[in-house]
Amino acid sequence: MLSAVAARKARLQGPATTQPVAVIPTPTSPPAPSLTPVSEPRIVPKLQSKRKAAVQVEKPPSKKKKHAHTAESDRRTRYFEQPDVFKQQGDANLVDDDHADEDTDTSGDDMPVDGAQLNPQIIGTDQRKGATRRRAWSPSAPDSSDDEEDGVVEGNALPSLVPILAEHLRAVSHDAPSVLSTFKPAWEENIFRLSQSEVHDLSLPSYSEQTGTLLLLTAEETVTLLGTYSLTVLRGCISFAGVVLTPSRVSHRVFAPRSSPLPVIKCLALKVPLRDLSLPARLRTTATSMDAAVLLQELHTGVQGLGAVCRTFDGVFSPSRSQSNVSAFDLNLRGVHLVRHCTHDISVLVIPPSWETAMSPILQPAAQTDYSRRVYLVKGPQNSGKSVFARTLLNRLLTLYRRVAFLECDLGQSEFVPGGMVAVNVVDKPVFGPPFTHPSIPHSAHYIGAATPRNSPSHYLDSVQALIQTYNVHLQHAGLVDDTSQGVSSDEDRIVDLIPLVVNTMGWTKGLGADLSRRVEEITDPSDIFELGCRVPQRVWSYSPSEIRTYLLEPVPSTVLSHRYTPADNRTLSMLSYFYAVFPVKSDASALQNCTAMSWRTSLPLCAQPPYEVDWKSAFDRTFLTGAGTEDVVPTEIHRVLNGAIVAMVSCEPDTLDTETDDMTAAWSTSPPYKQDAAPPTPFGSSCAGLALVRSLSPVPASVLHLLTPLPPHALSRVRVLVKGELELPVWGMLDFRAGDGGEIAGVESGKVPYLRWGKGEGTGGDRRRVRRNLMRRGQM
Amino acid sequence: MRLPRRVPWESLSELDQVCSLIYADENDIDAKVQAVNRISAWRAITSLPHALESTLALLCAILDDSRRQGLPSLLSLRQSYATALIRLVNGLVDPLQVGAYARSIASIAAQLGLPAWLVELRHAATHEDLPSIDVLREAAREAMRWLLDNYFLPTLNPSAAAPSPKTVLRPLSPLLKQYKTLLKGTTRDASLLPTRKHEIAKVTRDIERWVAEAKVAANVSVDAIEWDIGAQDDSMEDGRERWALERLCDALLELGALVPVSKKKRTISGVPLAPAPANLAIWTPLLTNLQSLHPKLPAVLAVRIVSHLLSRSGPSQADVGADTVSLLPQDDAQMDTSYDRCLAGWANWLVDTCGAGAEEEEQEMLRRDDIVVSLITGLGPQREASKTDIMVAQDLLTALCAGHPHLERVAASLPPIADAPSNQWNSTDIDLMQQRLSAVLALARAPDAPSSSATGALGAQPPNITNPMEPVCTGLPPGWRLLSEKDGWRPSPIGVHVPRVPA
Repeated sequence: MLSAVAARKARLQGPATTQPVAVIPTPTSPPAPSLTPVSEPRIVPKLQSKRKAAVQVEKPPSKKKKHAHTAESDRRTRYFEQPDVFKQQGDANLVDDDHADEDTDTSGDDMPVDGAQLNPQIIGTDQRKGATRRRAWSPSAPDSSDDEEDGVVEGNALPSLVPILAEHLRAVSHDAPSVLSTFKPAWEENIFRLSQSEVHDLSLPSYSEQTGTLLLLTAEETVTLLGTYSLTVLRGCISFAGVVLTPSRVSHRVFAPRSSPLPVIKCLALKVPLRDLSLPARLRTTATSMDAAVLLQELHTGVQGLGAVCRTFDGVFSPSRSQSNVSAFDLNLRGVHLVRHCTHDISVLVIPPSWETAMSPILQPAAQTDYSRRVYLVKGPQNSGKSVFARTLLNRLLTLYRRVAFLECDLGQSEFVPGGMVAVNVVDKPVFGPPFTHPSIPHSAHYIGAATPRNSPSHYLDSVQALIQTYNVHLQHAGLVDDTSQGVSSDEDRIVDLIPLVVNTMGWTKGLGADLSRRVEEITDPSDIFELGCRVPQRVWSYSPSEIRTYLLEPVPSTVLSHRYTPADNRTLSMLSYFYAVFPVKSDASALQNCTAMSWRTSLPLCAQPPYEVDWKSAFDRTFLTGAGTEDVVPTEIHRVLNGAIVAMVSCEPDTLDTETDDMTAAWSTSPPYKQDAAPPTPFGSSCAGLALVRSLSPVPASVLHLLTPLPPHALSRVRVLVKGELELPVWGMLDFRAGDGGEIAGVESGKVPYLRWGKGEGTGGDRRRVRRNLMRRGQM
Repeated sequence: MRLPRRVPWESLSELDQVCSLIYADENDIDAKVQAVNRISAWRAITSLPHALESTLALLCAILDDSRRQGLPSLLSLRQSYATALIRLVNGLVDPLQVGAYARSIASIAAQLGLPAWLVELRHAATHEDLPSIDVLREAAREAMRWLLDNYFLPTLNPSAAAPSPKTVLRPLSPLLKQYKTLLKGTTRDASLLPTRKHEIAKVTRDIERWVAEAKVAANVSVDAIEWDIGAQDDSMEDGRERWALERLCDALLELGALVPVSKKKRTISGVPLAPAPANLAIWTPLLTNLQSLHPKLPAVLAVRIVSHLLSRSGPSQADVGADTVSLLPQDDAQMDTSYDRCLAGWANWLVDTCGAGAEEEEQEMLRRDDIVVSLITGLGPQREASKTDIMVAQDLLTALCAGHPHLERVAASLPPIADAPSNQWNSTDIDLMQQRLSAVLALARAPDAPSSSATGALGAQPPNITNPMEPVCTGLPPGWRLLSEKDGWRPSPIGVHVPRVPA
């Protein structure tokens, strides 16, 4: 709030000349000093004198004050001065002093593209920033959204000035867009179609029956692709999404939609001999002069269909209109598009140099006998790049370890699970793509039932505690006893017998959230902490800091995407992706094998997918409601509450549920087994298998539920309890995308669909409560 | 596409039932208990409309009051009454705090028709001594009555709602005039700027406030608005903002605002279709400022100007811009082409300076293409450059297309039809229309071809997945069974039960 007022004042007082607060990310304690890249000073034509003469009622608010608070959020902003109206219009110049200052202050923001480091620094930061555009402040559309509560306007949303002279903005975004693909494809020179038999001869374990396209790259060449594809490195060495990939028969599934930063394939010059795979004979001579060979294949999963389900994400796997205007090179692969230039709606994955510095020491191959506990905790405020960092760290660790465990403590934007739960996943393949492209069945999880632990902080902490116990006891050294890894990987050079843990924490770092984050830190007892976007080092250590290595990292620059897709949008998509996902049916019940969705059943909407018919008398022991106010739901109304609800399917240890009395049992013959004001099952004696949608309940005498769940049968076997939390099915999930915009659902016309209301309701107070936290008083002007 | 909203009731009749449980008999405690149970259950399903949530809180307090025998103290009762009332007022008032600055709660309450003493009670209960139980009881009764009249009855009988009185806005012209006078001084003599700065800032703020007030007032007249495509919660907000901006633009289009009174100052000779520099200097700061708060402003203003220009093309088109025309001075002696020309200059400038690129996907942004489309459509096939009254619109079209080869092609592909079509329908007319349509479509198809084929290929092609249902059927735990169409199950909206028909 203060900052907004200050900005307002500054605006009224005219040009301010405060100095921006310099923020230099410096890793503390053991790790090596951070790189301080030299940023190129921007040459900015300034017409100071002219500008002063012009009529200037206002000046962009002094964002420097704000800079101190949320520096990472305004990196995207760029201000332009109005034209000198006495001169000709075209003479107006962009005033870039703000920005130029920023460039020098925030080290690494404009990383010069430099040479042959093994550093997957991605080009294009600079222009991308120019292309991003800050949305004007508006009370109805909060600029930043808080993890803590949807629809709440952040306190420091600042009225910013979008200059009317957007002409220059466009000029900046259009002139010389940064090149995302330096690779210049030419058929039969550096790009080749591989026939089915040629692919077959490579004897890849997966996708061996498909044709492919082979790229030969020279060092420093980059290729950026949009869409879904499978990527196999055959020769040489590339960096991809922050990970260095070496030749292997493993094909990586890559999901690169426009809604998240695109990963860039960059060829690295590596003199170390690698175990290259043999290429088809006709290519060998050409390939010797090249540094790397990469096989691309089509990947058909049905994930594109999610765009039709949730129209917010319509067409994110194909180029936007602006890109499709540029004549694209046809890679001969359906669903894969080469992106040459950066446009305003694309951003690329950037791994800041301080991240590199922080990650390198932990990736040193430790002595094979070192079994010390490795727990890496990632924390930081919302939108600082926590999940990107956690995913990159996970992928990096997977180059060293055969398996890595991932503990998700962020209920709102979970990496592997649909949200509302804390979960441990054991991952054995790197994941390339945003969270909605790899929904997984967790190794172990506990359902909280909301996108924030605000209403059940102690249950949340207990759940984290229970999962850490699971990790400590069952997972940490599980590789030692897991026999599947022994036989399969005779040539395995990764560490098998230790499974490190990556902990992703929530972005709610204020108030109660700060307290919870601190407790999570204590519970998980990390060996290394990665803290993103921390400006004020105020920490209360309740344990000896010397045992924990802490790395302070710069936050990832905010991108245009965070404006286009809010956390709520991403949550919606994750939830829908989960319900449409098709999980593989496990052949063996090895608990360590990660079960990730391989495809999506998006040809039919949820309302037309055949459900499971479940007799609650024989299938379920209890149902619970969690969330504020649910203790007031009387048993006669439980039927109503469950209809259309999202429920967690939980298995409980024997004897953890309190025994029911006779009159309760009698009542349960006619309604689902529910007891008012009952605490949900304790995380220490239960585990959540996944979510289901109660698509309908039979009228009272019968005891039938119709459930939709993506879980395969083996995951359902121990489920005896349903827990309904505050999570709801997104409205997109209730619609029928086959009917177009008409709103018809499964043949019922829109006005008659139960539980949905089209159009604006009449009557005062007919809308949900809106909370504003950025309201200013007149006196504050 | 507008999204529907999830509601906890199956149909409005369920809400009607709850309403009669509450209000049918004031002394029927059992009915009220039933209502509380039902609303509590709804609350667990999805978040409730604020009015309903307040009803629940008030009802609980009233029920506690009626069963208060044996309560050791009345404090808890007073507290629950007070909390319910405070939350009721806050929740009703907060959605109308749409500006950057807080409006007084009393003024919003007056707009809502909320009794003023409830607002005072809210203040007292929050900051002063907790009011007495008698006052609180009376307030709760009053609040329940208010909810019945203002929430339940209008929601249940949408058609019966009384038409709202026409919104009256205070005139904006004096503010604009004041602003213009100030800026005229400072643009001519920059040394005046330091002394006038505060005055300018004040009048700018007054104009901002006027827009904010118009936005709130749009509440009642919002029915007349065509909804924009927008997110669920923003659509109403968008409509209001657009309405307010349209009123602002009407004021700006009046003579003496964007268009100077003096004809000589309207345009500069030699430079076609651009606002005169002096004029530009006066208005740019205000427009910039307003645009920062309302990004849609350039788009609304440009559309307004275009519809005004087109409305000049003849009485037959009066419906297009009737709203605008009525607001403009009808004195035709003043309204010669230089007025139109000046406006066209502004439109051209707006598109040039704030127009988003054609690739911009933001709905609300000003797009050159959109303006060109509305001009071409508005001008119709019989665009005769000789007709003076639409010449300005024609010139604007040319100016907008200039330098944009893509648009030039479109404009060129639709040549004006020389002979004005008669009112008689000829069979050749349809051919002509078809021909013109295909000419435009041919242009559109060329650049879009790659994208449509790409999406089409992916969209039409069902993913190559082996039917996942088959293996799933096996190994289900007891009590589970996968349904299919063979069991008599058929698709239905979520929440509607279709039982299995035993074979």
